[in-house]
Amino acid sequence: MSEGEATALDEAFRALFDRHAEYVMKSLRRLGVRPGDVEDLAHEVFLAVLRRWDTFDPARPPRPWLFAFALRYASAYRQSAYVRRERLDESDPPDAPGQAQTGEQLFLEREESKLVYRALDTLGDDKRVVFTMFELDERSAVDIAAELGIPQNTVFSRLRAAREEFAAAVKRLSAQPPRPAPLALERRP
Amino acid sequence: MTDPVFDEPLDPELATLLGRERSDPAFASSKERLARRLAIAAVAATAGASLATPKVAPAGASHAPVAAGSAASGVAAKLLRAILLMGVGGAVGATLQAHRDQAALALSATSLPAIRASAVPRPEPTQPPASTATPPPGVPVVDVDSLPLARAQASGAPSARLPAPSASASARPATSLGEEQRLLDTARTAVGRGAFSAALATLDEHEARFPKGHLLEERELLRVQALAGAGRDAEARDHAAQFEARYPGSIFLPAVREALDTRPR
Repeated sequence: MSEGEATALDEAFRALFDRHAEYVMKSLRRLGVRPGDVEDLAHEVFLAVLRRWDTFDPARPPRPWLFAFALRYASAYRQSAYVRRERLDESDPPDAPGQAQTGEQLFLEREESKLVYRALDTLGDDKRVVFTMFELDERSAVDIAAELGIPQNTVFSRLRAAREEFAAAVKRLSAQPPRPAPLALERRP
Repeated sequence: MTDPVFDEPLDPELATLLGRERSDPAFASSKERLARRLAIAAVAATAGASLATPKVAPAGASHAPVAAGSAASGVAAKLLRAILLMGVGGAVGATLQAHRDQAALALSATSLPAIRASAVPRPEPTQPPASTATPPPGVPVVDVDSLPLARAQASGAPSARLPAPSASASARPATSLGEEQRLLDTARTAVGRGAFSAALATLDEHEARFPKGHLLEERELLRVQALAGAGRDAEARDHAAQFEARYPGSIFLPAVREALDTRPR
């Protein structure tokens, strides 16, 4: 690689990061990554982006490309033993109130308790992915079907079911105080 | 085919909730920290990682091919090298400072501006050599042009860490660190394009010429990558184990382990 190419890559990468880093982190969060783990996982995602830079097509919208990375890393994350263990830990009583908290901790807690994420947490992984892509990323059903390698009808049925469950969860959660955070994922079969 | 989903309007309250989530600028502080963490990787890429090597697998493939694995390790390798070179750069700076002190004693005052070169354009090698600036034997000297980081800094930073070399410095033959780097760059390129036996031959050459070189960890990482790539799994594992025993705290260690994991099945 010539120096000029390296510099061009560097600049393109920085530009991509600058414009879409928050999108990547939000996507990870939407896909079930806990707030405290989002930054580390986003770091992994962007390193992977650098490694697979040869598959970047500047002529196409970058977010779907980035989302594919986020999706893979979030899936691996959800399946990891680490997360399962953490979820068990969460059944411990929350820290006593009045304990000193940093702004960062407060931010993470606020993230944790956001209604939209808590409702997303009640969806199964398949439905959650389709719902996120359609409702939050506003991607077409055709696009989603192609990306996930599933039939369009499956996209429709998952989306319909996801909408119903999401709506029910929002209603239920709005009626409850946000703490302690419910561990909806634990209840899944 | 009519899409039944599009005909089902979303509850307005939910639409509002989702709209807020779409525009919520979350993770701004994480972004800053992440940028700092990645800025290092970006410097590493600038230093010449072979990231643009064409690879066949699409982004959606679930398993990265071995080439991507080596590129991954390449990034880690560049990262360490950049850090390493920052340290070396400091040493080089100190060495050059010593040369300048010597030169200041030896040269007439009128020659000094040319030697205090960090603020002035670098003299061309065709200029009369300042032979008095030749270092005493035994002092290691590195051709600054051989340091990727120096190039990266020269383009951006107004005051580069490394002073520009004097005319005689740039006319010197490549020094051991530069030569070590050249060999390892050759080996890395070979690993990147799957020429594993060529890579191993280059690494053997490095080992023969620089048994106590500056870049041993990088060499051994490349060796594990090349052995794993060539399907010589037992040897790759042996070398990886040796690496782990010898350099337990190395930041190359993840890359060494990754090389074992990503060998072709």
